[in-house]
Amino acid sequence: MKRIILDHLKRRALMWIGTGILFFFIQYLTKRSESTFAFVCINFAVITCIGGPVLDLDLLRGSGRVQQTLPVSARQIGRAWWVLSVALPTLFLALISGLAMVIHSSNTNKGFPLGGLTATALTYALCFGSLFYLIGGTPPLQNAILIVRRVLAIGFVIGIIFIKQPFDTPQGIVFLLAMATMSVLGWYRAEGKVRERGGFRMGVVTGTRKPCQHQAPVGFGGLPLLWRNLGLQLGGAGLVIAAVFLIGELWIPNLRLSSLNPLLEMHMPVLVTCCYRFVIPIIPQMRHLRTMPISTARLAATLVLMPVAPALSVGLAWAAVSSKGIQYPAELVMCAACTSFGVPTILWRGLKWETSLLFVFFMIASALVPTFYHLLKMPFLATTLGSLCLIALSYKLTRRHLQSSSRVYRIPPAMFNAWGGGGR
Amino acid sequence: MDTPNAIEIRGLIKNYPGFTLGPLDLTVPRGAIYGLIGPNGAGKTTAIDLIYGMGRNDAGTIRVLGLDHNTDEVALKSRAAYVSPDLNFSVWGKVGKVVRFVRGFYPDWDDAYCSALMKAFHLSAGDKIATLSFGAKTKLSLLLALSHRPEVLILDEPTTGLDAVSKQEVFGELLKAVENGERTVLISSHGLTDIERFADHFGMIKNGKLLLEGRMDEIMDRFRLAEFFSNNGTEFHNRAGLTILKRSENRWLAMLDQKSDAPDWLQTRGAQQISLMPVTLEELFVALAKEEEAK
Repeated sequence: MKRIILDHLKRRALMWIGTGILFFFIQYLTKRSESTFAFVCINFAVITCIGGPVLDLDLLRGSGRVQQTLPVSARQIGRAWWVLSVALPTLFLALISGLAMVIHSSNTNKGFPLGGLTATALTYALCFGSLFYLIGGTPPLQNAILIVRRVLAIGFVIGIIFIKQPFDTPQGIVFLLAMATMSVLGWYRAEGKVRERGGFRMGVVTGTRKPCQHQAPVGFGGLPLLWRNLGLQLGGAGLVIAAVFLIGELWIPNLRLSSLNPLLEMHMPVLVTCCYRFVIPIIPQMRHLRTMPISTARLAATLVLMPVAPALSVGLAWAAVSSKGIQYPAELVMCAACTSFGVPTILWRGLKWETSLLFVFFMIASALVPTFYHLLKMPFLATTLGSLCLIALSYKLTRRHLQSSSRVYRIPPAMFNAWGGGGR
Repeated sequence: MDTPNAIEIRGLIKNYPGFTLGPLDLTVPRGAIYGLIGPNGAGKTTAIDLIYGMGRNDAGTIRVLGLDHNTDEVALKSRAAYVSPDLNFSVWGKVGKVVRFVRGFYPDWDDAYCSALMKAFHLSAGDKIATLSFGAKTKLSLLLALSHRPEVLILDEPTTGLDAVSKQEVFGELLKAVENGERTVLISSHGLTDIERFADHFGMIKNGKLLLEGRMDEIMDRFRLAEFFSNNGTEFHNRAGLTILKRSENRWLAMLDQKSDAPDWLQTRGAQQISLMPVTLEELFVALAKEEEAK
């Protein structure tokens, strides 16, 4: 167990140090200024840098399977994963918060806010705990209960960040209790998670083999099918989570963090998260897509526009019912344009730590779009032009990366192929 | 455009840090089953990737069925197919969905043939891809490749991870698919026995260089395993057409290229009791790899 923890820390040392430095400044600055939406977004991005999502990145690259071959029990591996995803990040961030608070209180001659530190540490522990619970494959579309459970769990995790005083309001307590439950369940699910993720076959699969249907399927296929499936998944997930937040907003009066449109505040990171669910799986299927008779230009355009189109649809749908004009769809498209930059990023380096750092950067950038939009009072034309430029740049880079080398998508992550190994 | 060769690679170079593929010249005649063999890291997959436009070559040309691999990318991929265990279909969830997706790209997709292959490979439209065994995934990859009846079939390590029964099923379907001689197959592998049994042409690649290329029967006739004895402490060393494989006191074992001047050279150097034996592809490969390493 100790070796697994040390191995992870050694490999991810730079990420932890970088996150620590970033987090210190955020904590120091948030103590000096009113907590704003921007800081909340950055905080959220930070916790995804060293918590469960980083472990997930390792698991995507096959570390789980390798660890299962070592003379360590699944329970020990699971506990090691829990320590790495929950205990250590909480301690780490609590220490940094404490340091920032000490410096801040010595500069301002105020007392050390021990209560604040405890609340921060507890909140982060619960965030990390629930994130750990959530790590895992996407539930199958047929299983509605699992999907609803997953959406609610994600809603609780993201929702906690939007509550200013989680310990003072009944709604906040409900959020905390839900997260505490997930954290406890996560600890007990750790061993099962190892068996799930360490297996050759991806995700939880039940072998319900139906009577053989050797008949070749019919119906439209090709790129339209890809558009329909992924578009529905992205747009649908965005709409469902947005609806959850809309209900949450009505229920929780202090959900609003700033004077911005609260719907915008919440939708952006939610949409971005949904879009990244699309960007990350690009790598494993890229090799297959490259063998299809699609020109590089068309494939690049498809990949880049894939996050943009659902955003535009959601935005237009919202604009139609809210009579807010075209400002909202424009902002959403700009946010999606930032997300589309994730496509050339992942095609540039694959599932590496540099890529994940850049992802976090784009996530922050995407989440900050509405803030900048309102602060700078950007005209509609500027937003549209900015979005178009970003999309064009993403397209150009994606096309270049697709053509230049296959090294990124040549070695599939080991979860997809145990034979995957070295490469150039 | 009709050309005598299905695949023509001329002066192909691709540079990676620490590895260079080429300059590579490779010719796959139409209707041939061409085995590209080489050890791990030799450059087989890199060469195939370049044929399929996965990566940009630094120099040289690649033409498949007379089509340039870059400018005629879509036309080339419409007439060719690619099979590899590296292809991942899990995002599609079910076999039927990925079949439907791929089917959409090929107007001449043969539904009846696809159904027949599904039956032969024991694949069902409702099968979850995540639950498929490694062999079944390779069979799915082959099914997707064959169902549009491509003119050129490129297989990258298709037998990796397959058990003997699955291998037989895969090769059985492959042989059926190419029996009329109209389809060209380029198959890369480091499983030499499969290539020896299946291919009629082959190319041997190591460290990014093509060591040898030609018809299987001609090459196997050309090379012989030579056992001979030396007198008076005569020393033999590697030279063009002769690769010393083993020596025990005055008994020598070498790979001999009968087309070179090595047989005459051996006799002038006093080699005695020279006996020539047929070689296997594996012995030839090991000898050529040794020779390349010695350089």
